Amino acid sequence: MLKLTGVRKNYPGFTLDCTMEVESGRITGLIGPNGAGKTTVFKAVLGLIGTDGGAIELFGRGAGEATAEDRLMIGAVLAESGFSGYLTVGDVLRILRAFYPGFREDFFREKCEAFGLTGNKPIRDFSTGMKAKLKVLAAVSRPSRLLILDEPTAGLDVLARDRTLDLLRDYMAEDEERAILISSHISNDLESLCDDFYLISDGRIVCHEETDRLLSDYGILKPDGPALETLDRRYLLRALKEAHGCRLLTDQRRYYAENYPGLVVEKASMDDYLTLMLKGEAI
Amino acid sequence: MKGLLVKDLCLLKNQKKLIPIVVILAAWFTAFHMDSFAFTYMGLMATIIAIGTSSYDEYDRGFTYLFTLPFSRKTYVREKFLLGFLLLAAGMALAFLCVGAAALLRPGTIDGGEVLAAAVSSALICAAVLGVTLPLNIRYGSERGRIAMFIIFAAAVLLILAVTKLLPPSLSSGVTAFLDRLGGLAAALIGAALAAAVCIVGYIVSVRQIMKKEF
Repeated sequence: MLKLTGVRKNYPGFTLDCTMEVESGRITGLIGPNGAGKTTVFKAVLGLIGTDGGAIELFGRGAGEATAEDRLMIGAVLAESGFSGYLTVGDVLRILRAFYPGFREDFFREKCEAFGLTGNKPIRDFSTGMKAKLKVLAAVSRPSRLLILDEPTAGLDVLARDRTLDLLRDYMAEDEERAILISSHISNDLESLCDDFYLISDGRIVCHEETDRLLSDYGILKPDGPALETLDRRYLLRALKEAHGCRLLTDQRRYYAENYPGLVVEKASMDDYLTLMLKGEAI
Repeated sequence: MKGLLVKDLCLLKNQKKLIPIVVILAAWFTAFHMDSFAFTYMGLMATIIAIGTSSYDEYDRGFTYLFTLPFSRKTYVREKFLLGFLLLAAGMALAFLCVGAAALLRPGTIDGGEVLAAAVSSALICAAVLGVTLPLNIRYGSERGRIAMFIIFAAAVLLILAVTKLLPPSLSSGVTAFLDRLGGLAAALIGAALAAAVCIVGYIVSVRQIMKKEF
């Protein structure tokens, strides 16, 4: 559905060089530290910035050949930008109805009611959480096939975050041809939502992994001094020295759990994976 | 285009308190026999309000999100011109209503030809102002665009003053005589052609500017 091949964007002191793919029927996460290039990827896909090389393919066509209908098929949430603060929820409804034939007006109204987005208050008077909810609702209420979501849950409390993630799951369940590309600082959100994810650092994709595989096969080993020397290193990916020993990242957790009975072996979370892959040393 | 127009009309609701003030002022101008000025005033207000919608778009990095919606950058420029012309037409209509009311209240005091000339010249000048201001706003943003607009208009006034001072008296009186000889219709056509040229150049420059912009 969306394919980026060697997409480059040069800024002073930063270069994006990105190759990744979002397949239909899947939710793909993009994780990485602040300033890694996640928003630049989103902006390049949405045509908000030009690129200095590479190719972006959207719905099987080059980004430059995207038709007006193709653009109707995309819903976007951007972390730092939304509808003008001078508009109200009612205005947003009227605008989206005018832009999108097939805009799900009843769904939008119903969900706005459920999320407490009512009244004639201008958006600039909304809390950060209310703005975030409105942006996600505006995206999922469109007749889109691809959602591009940059930090959609930023500023939401735990309950609102769960409901928002449920909205995204429902969106995917309604049509198996749909897809979502999402970034979030809250790795729990991505662990429970994404089918696969890309890790980006300094503008480059560092790795790509299936979320199921991360949760079932990856692990963190915490050996004490002597145990470290005896460990089979074939399945170790990264090592990070810490104040009290070190942490090792493996993609064969069961192997170590079964063969080293005294070794502390824990499941790896997305946060562990990100930290070890970016801060750890390759083994 | 429709979505953008709806968006701008929703934004213009924020300025609804301004409408009675504008109408009262236009009525006040006509009450004091400044019928022509009512057209200039209404036209300029309409143009300023139309241009002002782009600062609402810009507010709080709104441009970035706006341009993820399904329209092309060229459409954005077209819509701003269309909105400007629509508001200008509305402004002229309101001015006509005020002057029409004045004509009923004090019959025989209003010269129809003069009123029509004022309406046409005001509309053409305001259309040209739109054609100059919009590319500046797109290029520099609403704040810096406003400063750039003042600089350009000040430069234009100085240029006109300099030209009129520096022209030899014979040439200057020749131009004046030529303008006097022109009939109303011919002058309107020349004015319309000039305003259209300014708007076309303004449109082309605006499209170029917006195509280059990164959000």
